[in-house]
Amino acid sequence: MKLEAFFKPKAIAIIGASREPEKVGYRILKNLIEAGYKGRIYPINPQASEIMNLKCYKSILEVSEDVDLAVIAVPAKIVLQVAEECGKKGVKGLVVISAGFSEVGREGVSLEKQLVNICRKYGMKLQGPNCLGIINTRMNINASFASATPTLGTVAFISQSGALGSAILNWALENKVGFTSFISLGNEADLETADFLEALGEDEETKVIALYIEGVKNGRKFIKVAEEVSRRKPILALKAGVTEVGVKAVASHTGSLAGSETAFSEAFKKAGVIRVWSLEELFNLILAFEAQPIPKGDNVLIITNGGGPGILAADACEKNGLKLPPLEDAFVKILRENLPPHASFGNPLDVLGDADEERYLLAIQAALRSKKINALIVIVTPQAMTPAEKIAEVIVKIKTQYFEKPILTSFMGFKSDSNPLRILKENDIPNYHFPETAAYVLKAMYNYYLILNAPKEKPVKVTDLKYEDIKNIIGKAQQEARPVLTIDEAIEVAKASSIPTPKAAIARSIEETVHIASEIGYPLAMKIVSPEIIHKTDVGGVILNIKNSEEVKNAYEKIVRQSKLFMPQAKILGVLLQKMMPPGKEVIVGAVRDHVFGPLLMFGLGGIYVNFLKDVSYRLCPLTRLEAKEMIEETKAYILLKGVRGEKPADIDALIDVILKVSYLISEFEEIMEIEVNPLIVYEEKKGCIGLDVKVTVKI
Amino acid sequence: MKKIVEGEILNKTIYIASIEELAGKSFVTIPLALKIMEKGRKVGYFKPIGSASLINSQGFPMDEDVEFIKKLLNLKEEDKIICPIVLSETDFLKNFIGKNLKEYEEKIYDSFKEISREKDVILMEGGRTLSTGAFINLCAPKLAKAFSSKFILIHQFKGDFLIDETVQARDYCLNWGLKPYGVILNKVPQEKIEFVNSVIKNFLNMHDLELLGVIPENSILNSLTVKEIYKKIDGKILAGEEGINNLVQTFLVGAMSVESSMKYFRKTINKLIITGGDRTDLILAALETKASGIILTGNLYPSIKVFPKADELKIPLILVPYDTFTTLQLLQKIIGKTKLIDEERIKIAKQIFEENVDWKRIIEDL
Repeated sequence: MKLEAFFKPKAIAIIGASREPEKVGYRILKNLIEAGYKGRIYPINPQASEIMNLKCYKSILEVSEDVDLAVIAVPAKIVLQVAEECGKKGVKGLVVISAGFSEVGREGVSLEKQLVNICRKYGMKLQGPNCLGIINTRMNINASFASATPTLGTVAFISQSGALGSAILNWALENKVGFTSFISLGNEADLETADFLEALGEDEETKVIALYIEGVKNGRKFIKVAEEVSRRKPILALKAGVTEVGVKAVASHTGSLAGSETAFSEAFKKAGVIRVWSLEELFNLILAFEAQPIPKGDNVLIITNGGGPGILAADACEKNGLKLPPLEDAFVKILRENLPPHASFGNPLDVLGDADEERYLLAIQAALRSKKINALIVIVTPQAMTPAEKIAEVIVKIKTQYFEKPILTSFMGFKSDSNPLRILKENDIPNYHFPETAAYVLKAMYNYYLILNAPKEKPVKVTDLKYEDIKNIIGKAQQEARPVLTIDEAIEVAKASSIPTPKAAIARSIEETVHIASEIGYPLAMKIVSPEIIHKTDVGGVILNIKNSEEVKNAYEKIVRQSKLFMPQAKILGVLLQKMMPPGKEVIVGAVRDHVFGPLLMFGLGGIYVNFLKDVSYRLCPLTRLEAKEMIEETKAYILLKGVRGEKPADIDALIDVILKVSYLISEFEEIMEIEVNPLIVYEEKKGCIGLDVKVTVKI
Repeated sequence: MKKIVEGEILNKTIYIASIEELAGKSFVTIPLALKIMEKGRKVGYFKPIGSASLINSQGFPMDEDVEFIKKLLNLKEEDKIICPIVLSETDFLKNFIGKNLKEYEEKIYDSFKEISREKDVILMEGGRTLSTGAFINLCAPKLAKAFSSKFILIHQFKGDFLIDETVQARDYCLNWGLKPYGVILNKVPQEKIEFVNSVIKNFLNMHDLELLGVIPENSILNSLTVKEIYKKIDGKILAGEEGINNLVQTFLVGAMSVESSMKYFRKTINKLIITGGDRTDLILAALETKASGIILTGNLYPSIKVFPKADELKIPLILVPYDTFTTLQLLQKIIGKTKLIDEERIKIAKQIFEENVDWKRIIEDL
C-alpha cells in the first residue's frame, strides 16, 4: 500500500504529548491509546518522564527502536527543529497537527516551505500542517484530536476542513456508519488529496471514498488518480465554493484560487467522481454506497403501503431519469393470487394500507427475482395495523438471500430510535425519511454503474500539427509582449493545426489590397490587422461582401480611417483579405486554460446570440472522440445540426474533427491561454466546415 | 523698466519647446543637460512659464519638473527664480486681472540674470505649447529670440499630419523673427522609424527644417511605475513592495466573476488592477495573471493569506481609502503623464537620446 507509514505504521511517536487534558498533545495520545493501537507508542516531551503510563522521551532521537510515523503537536516555531530530528531518526511520515503555517500569512508561508524542505531532505512524507490528524480503524489508530473514534467500516473520508471532519465522525457514530480511515488534509504542503486518494484506492478494506474539498492543488494529478480509483470504488465528492459568494469565501479561507466551477464539474465528470451538493446528500449516498450493491440498470420497482408516498416516489424516480417498468406477468400473477384484488400491481406496486410482512415479502421477492427490475424502493408508512418491525426484519432476511440488487427503504414518520429503524440501521439497509431521497440516491448509484461501464477511450492525437510554425508565431508575440495574436497570426496557428480556414492574405497598402483581392477572388471580407485592436467589429474593423476592386479600395480607406478614429494609438499593420464563404450553420469552438485543471473546451451555437442563450457545453482537454460527440449532443445546437424541417444534416464528423484539433492544439501548447474559432461554419454532411475568425491569447 | 535686449546675454541658451502638450520636452532636456555636463560645462535650467502641478516645499504652486531637475542638476536657485511664472492648470487668467503685464517680462529677465551667473549653458524649457505665455506677450519664440537661443521644436509622432503642424510652428517662429534650429520627433513607433528618416525628413528639409533626432517609442518610458502612482491615490503598500517599479500602462477594474476577469486580465500586460479589498478571489486572479499592481479600494483589508503570494510574485497590493470611482478619477489624472523622475528611466532615456539624437552637433554648435 502507498503511504504505508500513515496507514500501517508499526510505531508512532506523539511529539508534544502532554499531561494536561486541555492540550492537543494530551488528546491525541489519549485517542491513540483508547483506540487500542497495537503498535509501539512513544510520547515525546522534554518535561515529562511518563505520560498515561507510557515512558516519555525527551527527543525522538532518544528512542532506540524504529519509528514510522510521528504526529507533531508542538508550537509552530519548534516544528522545524522537531521535524529535523524526525528526519535524522529515519521517520517515514509526519502528521503535523500544529497550526501557524501558511494559513497565517507571511512568516507562516516561509516556515511551511522550510518544513517541506526538511521533509524532502530526509525523504519524509508530510500530512498537514494545520490538520486534525489521521484515523485508521483497521489498525486501531486514532492519531487525531477528534472528539470521537469512529467504528470499523468501509468508508474512507478525506477532508480539507478539520472541523467538518470532526462533525462527520460524530454523525457516523450516530448513524452506525463505520470508517476505514479519516484524513484531515490541513494545508496540503506536501501530501494532497490525490495522494491519499491513490493510497485508499489500493486499500482493499475501503469500499467508498468520500471527499470534502474546497479546491485541489494539482488538477491534472487529481483527475489522473481519481480516474483510476473511481473504476475500482466510488468516490463521492462535496465541493464547497460553488456560488460567487462561496468562491470568495474559499479564496479567503485557503488563500488560493480554486478552479472554475465549470472546470470542477468537468473534472469530476472526466474522473468519474460522483458529485454531491450538500452534506446531507453526501451522508445519504454514503449510507447506500457502503452497504448496497450497485444497480445494473435504471429500472426501479417501488413497493408501498400508501398511494400518496408511492406517487411521490414515482415522480422523483422519473425526475431523476429512472424507469418504472411493471413486473413480468408471471410475477404479477403470483401477486394477484396472494394479495387483495384492489391492490395495485403496476409500478408503484401498492400492497395496501393493511399490508403485513408477508405481503411485503412476496412483493420484494418478486422484484428481486425479476429480470427486469434492477433496484427497489420499499416504502412503509405507519398505519394502524402495520407491523413495521416485522417488515424491517423481513427485508433484512431476504437481503441475505438476494444481495445483487440494491434495496433502499423509506420508513416514513418513524422515530430514529424506533425499533424498525434500528433493525435496518444495524443490518446495513439504508433508510430515508422521504422516498424522494431514496430515488435521488438510486440515481447516483446508477450513475456509478455507468461510470464503471463507460467505454475507455484515449484522447485523440492530431498527427499533422506543425509544431515549429506554431511555436514561432507564439514566440514572436511573446517577445513583443502581445498577449493577443493578430488575426493573421491566429489564422496561421489554425492552419498549422489543420483547422480549415478560408483563403486569405495580408495587404499593407491600397495597391497591394487590389492586387491580392483579384488573386483571392471576390466576394471578400476585409479585417483590420492591428495588435492593439482586439475587438475588430467594435471599431469598424471588419467589412464583408466586397464585390469588386472599386469596393476593395473604398473598404480599405474606410477600415483604416475608422480604426484610426476609434483607436488612434493602434498600430495598423494592414488588412486581412479573406474569401467570403457561403452560409451554413454557425457554431463556436473555443478553449480557455483553467489554472487548476488546464484547458477547458467549449462548444456552442455561434452568432451574435451566443452570449444570451448560453447554449454551450464543456469538456476538459484532451478530448476523446466520444467526448467531442457527447458535447455536441448536449447542446440545443445539435437539434439544428441534425437538420430541421427537411434540411440535410450538417457535417457533424467534420465538426468533431475541429473540436479535437482545437483540444489537441491547446493541450500541446501550454503557452496558449485561450483560443476561439468563431464563427465556425458547418456545411451539409460530407461538405466539411470552415473557421471564419480565430482568436488566440498567449501567456506573456 | 528693464527690457530684454537682444545680444545682451552672454551665456549660450538652448530653448526646448513643443508644439503640443506632453510631447516629451523633458525627455530631451534632461539627457541633453547631462550630456553637456559630461563635457565639463556648467548647466543652468530655466523654465520661464510653468504649470502649477504641485505645491512645493515652501507651500507655493510649482511646476513639478522644476523640483526634480533642480535636484538632478544640483541647482541652487530658488524655485521661483527657476520658474518665475506659474500658471494654474485651467483658470489662471483671474490672477492677472488688473496687473501690469510688463512686470512679467521684467520678472523673467531678472530670473534669467540670476540663473545665468556662473553658468556656461542654460537650457530653457517652454510651457505647454509654443504659444503659452502669448497672453502676456511672452510666447516661447519671442523669449527664444530675446535670449538668442537655439530653438528646438519637439513634436510627437502621430501620423503624417505632423508635417503641417511643424511647418505651421515654423511660421509662428518666423513671425517673431526666430528661425528654429531643428526638430526632434518623439515617440515614433518602431515600424515608422525608417519612414520618418526618409520621407518625413525630406519634407522637413523642403520646408527648411532640420531633423535633429528621431526618438523611438519606448514602453518603459511611456509607462508609469507603481511607485509613481500609489502615493497620488493616498495608497499604502501592504505586500509585494519589491514590485514597486513594475510598469503600468493600463488600469483595469475587477468587479466580475473570477472566470470573466481572468479572460479580461490575460489580454492585457502592464496592468494595474483595481478591486475591492474583500474580493480575495479577484486579488488571486490578478496575481495569477501577473498584474503590475493591485489597488484595493474602500480601505478594505484583504485576507492576509494573499500577502505571501504578492510578496513572492513581487506584485504590490495597495490599500486606498477611496471607492473605485474616485480612485479611477484620480488615476485618470496621472495616466499618460510619465515623468523622467527615476534613475532607471533617466538611464534609458539618456541611452535612447544618445543613440537617436544628433546631440554632438547641438553641443558643438553652441
